[in-house]
Amino acid sequence: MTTVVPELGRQPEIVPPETAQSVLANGLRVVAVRSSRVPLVELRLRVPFSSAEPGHSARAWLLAETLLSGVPGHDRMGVAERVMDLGGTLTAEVDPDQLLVSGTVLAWYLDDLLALLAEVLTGARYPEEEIAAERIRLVSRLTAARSQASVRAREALRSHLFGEHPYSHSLPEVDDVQEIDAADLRAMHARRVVPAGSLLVLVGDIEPDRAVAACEHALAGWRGTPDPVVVLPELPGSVPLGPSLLYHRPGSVQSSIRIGGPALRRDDPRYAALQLANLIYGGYFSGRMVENIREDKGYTYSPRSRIEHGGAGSTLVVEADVATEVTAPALLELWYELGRLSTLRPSDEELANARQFASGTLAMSVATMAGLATTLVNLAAVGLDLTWVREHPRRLAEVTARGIYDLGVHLLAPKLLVAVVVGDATQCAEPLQAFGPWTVV
Amino acid sequence: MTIIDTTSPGVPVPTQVRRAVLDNGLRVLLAPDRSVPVVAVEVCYDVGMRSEPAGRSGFAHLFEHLMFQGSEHLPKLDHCRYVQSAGGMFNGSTHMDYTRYFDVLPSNALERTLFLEADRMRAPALDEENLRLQVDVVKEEILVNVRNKPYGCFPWLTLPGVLFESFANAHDGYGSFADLESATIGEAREFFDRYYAPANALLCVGGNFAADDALALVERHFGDIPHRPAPVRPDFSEPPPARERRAVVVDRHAPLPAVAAGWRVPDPIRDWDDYLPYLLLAEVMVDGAASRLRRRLTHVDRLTTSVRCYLGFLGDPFDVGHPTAFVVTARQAPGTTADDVLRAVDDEFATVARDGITERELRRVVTRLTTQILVASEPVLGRTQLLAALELRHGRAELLAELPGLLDRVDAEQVRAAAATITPDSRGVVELRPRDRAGEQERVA
Repeated sequence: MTTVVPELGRQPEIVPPETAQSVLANGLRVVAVRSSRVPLVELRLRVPFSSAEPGHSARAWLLAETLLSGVPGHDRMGVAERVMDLGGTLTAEVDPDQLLVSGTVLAWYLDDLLALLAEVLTGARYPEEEIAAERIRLVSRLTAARSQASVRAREALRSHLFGEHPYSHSLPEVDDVQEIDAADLRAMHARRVVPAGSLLVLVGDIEPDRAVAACEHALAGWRGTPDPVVVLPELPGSVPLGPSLLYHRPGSVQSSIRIGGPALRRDDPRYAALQLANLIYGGYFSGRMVENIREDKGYTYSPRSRIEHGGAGSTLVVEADVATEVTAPALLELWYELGRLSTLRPSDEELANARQFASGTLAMSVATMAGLATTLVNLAAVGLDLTWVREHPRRLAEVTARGIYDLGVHLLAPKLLVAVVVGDATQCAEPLQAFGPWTVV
Repeated sequence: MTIIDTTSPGVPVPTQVRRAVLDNGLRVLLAPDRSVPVVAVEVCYDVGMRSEPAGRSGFAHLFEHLMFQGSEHLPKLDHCRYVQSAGGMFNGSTHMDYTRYFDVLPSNALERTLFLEADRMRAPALDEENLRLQVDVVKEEILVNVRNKPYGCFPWLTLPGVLFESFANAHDGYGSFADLESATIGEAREFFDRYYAPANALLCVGGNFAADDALALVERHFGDIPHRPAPVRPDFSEPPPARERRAVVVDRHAPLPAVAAGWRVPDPIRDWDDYLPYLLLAEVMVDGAASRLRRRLTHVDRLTTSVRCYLGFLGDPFDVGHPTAFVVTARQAPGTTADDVLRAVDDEFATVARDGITERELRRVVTRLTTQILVASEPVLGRTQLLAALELRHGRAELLAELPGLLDRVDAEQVRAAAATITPDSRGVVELRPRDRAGEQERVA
C-alpha cells in the first residue's frame, strides 16, 4: 500500500456498558444494559425451542406467526393496536434453536410493553380462525420463499450437509403446516414457552437495576414446568460422500453455488484462526473471492463466505451467484482459492488486514442498541457473554499465518467440503462434470 | 471557507451540527457525537438516476461502481482494503436524485477515511478495462436482484414507467443491458467532470470527534481539489397523468401475482406542509396488523399475503425531490385478481377521504413514526445518513430533530385531504403476473 495514506490512531477499547442481571424466581434470566443515545429500549426474549420431533418446524413456525394473535380480552387487532399505541413493534420468529420475541419501544412505555408481553406469554389464545387464516398465508409465503434461488440453495446445502438432523429443516414443509390446529399450538405453548431456561435482554435508555425489577414485577406470573431440556445431536463432523448435487431450476439465468462443511464453535481455541481464514478467503470484500471472481473476472456481484453458528454446531458456508455460462469456471476458482488457503500460508498483510477488520467490526457491532441486544442473545444461546467480545481482540491478535495454515488443511481443504448448485441444469450440468459426478435433482 | 454554527433543539434526536463551505464549493456538515467510539463519513453527490442521459439508463449506478476502481494515490481495491483494515465497512448507493458513498469505522480511522474519499473526489481511475469489468458486475447484480429473483425490485423499476412520461422520471434506473454495454469511458469522464464537482457534493461526518479537529482534517484533504461549477439541477416536473395508466410485467419465477399502484404527490421540498400528511397516511394504511389496508386486505378479505404502502419509489420520503409518488403494493393470495385488490384499496382510501381518521389513529402513527426516526438515527451511520439526506435535499439537517414535532402538528383533516387524492382515475398500475404457459414475453412493460 502507498505511504501517503494517513496512519490510524489507537483503536478505542470496548467499554463494558452498565449492566444488571438476575435470575427471577420463575427461572427466567434477565439482562438489562444501559445505552442512552436515544430514548428507546430494545427487547429480546429467547426461548429455547429445538426439537427432533417430526413436524416440529411447522408447528414452531405457526406458533410464532400466531403468538400475538390474541390474549384474553383482545383479538389480533387489539394486540396490534396496543403495541402501536406504545409506538412500538413486537414480533416473533423461530429457528431450529429458539423462539425469539423482539420488540422496540419508547423508553417511557417499557412497563406497558412488559405488561403486554406477560399477557402474551401467560395467555396467548391461538384462536381457531386465526390459525386457519395463518396456515393459508404461511403456505403462500413458503411457496414464494422457495421460488427464490437463494432460499432453495440454502435448503439444498443444509439438507445435503445435515441429512436427517433437524437443522436440515430451517423452513417447514407445506404438508406439515396443513395438519396443525389450535390445540397443537396451545399444547406446544404450555410445554415449551416457559421461563426456566429462557433469557430476556433489554438494552436502552434504562436504569439497569430498575429495569430488572420491572421485569420481575411484570413477568412473575409467567410460570410453567419445562420439559426435559432438548439437546439436539451435534452436527455431522464430516461431509457426505458421493456425488455433488445440482438442483434444476428451469429458466434460471444464474447458478447459485454453495459450498459448505463443518466449522468451529466460538469457544473453540482455534476459532479465531478459522474466523480470520474465512475472512481472507471470502468473508469480506477485501478477501480473495471478491478479488478473483468479481474484480478480476466479473463472474458475480456479491460472493461471500461465512461461519454460521447454532446450538448444534457451526458451519462454513460459501455463496456465489454467477451467470449460468460461467458456473463451472466460477466453481473452479472457488475450489482453487480454498485449496490455496489450505496449502499455503497467507501473507502477513492479509492476516493483519483481516485481524483489524475482525476486531473493528466486533467493536462496532456492539455500538448500536439493536446490535448489542442481538449479540447478547446470540452469545447467550451458546453459553457466552460480553466477556467473550471484550477478550476476542486478544485472541485475534495471537493468530499467526502458521496457525491458519495448520488449521486450513483440517477444515478448508476442498476434500473436506461439499458443493451444491441451483441453476438451469440443461445449461450447466455438462461442464460441471469436470469436478466429478453430479446428481441432478 | 465559510463557517456557520447551528445548534438545533435537542429533542428528541440529539443533533448538534456545524456547517462549513470550502473554497472549492464543497459543503461540509459535521455532527459530533461522543457517546460511541465510531465515526461515519458520507459523501453525497447531487446526481442520481434521474440525471442519466437518454439512452444511458443505469449510468449513474454504473458510475458509482467505477468510483471503487482506484484513484489518484490508490490502486484498484485499495480503498476497500484501507477501510476494512481499519476495522470499518463501506458501500455506495445510487438514488433517484443523489449518489452516496459511505464508510463507518472505529473513530481512530477518521483522517484515513477523509483521505480516501478526497482521493476519489479528486481523481478516480476511470479506464476502459475497469469499465468493461464493472458492466459485467452490474449485469450480474441485475440478474441476482431482478431477473433471477421472483418479484425482484418490484415495483420500483417498472412503476415509474406508468406514472411518468419523461425519460428522466420514467426509465428503469438499473438500466438495460444494451445501454450498459454501450457506455463509454469518455461518457464516464464527462459524467465525472459535470456532476462530481466538489461544489455539487456534500460531505457529512458524524460520530466521535471534535468539530474543530475534523474541520481542519477536511480542509487538509479536500481543500486542494480544484473548483468546478456545480450543474443546475434540472426541473424534472411533468404534469400528472390525466387518467389511469396500466402495464403488465411477467415474472417467470414468481409463484403468485402481485400488483402495485402509484399516485403523484405534492412537491416534497416546496410543498413540504402538504407532503407530510402523506407520510402519516401511509402509516395509517399499513403500519402494524391493526392498520387499515393490512386489516382489510390480509386479514378480512384475505386478498393478499402482504401489503405495503410508502412514500417515494424507494421508500425514501426525505431524500427524494419532485416529482415523486405514493405507492401501494401487494402480493396476491391465490385465486385473486389485481382488480379485486385495487377495488378494496380504493374503498379503504375512499373511507378515509369520507370519514377521516380517529384521533387515536393519528396519535398512534405519530408515535410510531417518532419511534422509527429514533431507531433509524440511533446508529452513528444511520444518523449521519439521515442528516446528510435532509441537508442535501432540504438544506436543513435540523429537520431530523424537528420531525417528531412537525409530524405532531399534522391534523386529521390534512390526512383526510391527502386520502381524497388517492383515487383510481389518476394512478399508475403495474400488474406482475407469473409466467404465462403460452410463453408470453418476459417483462413486457
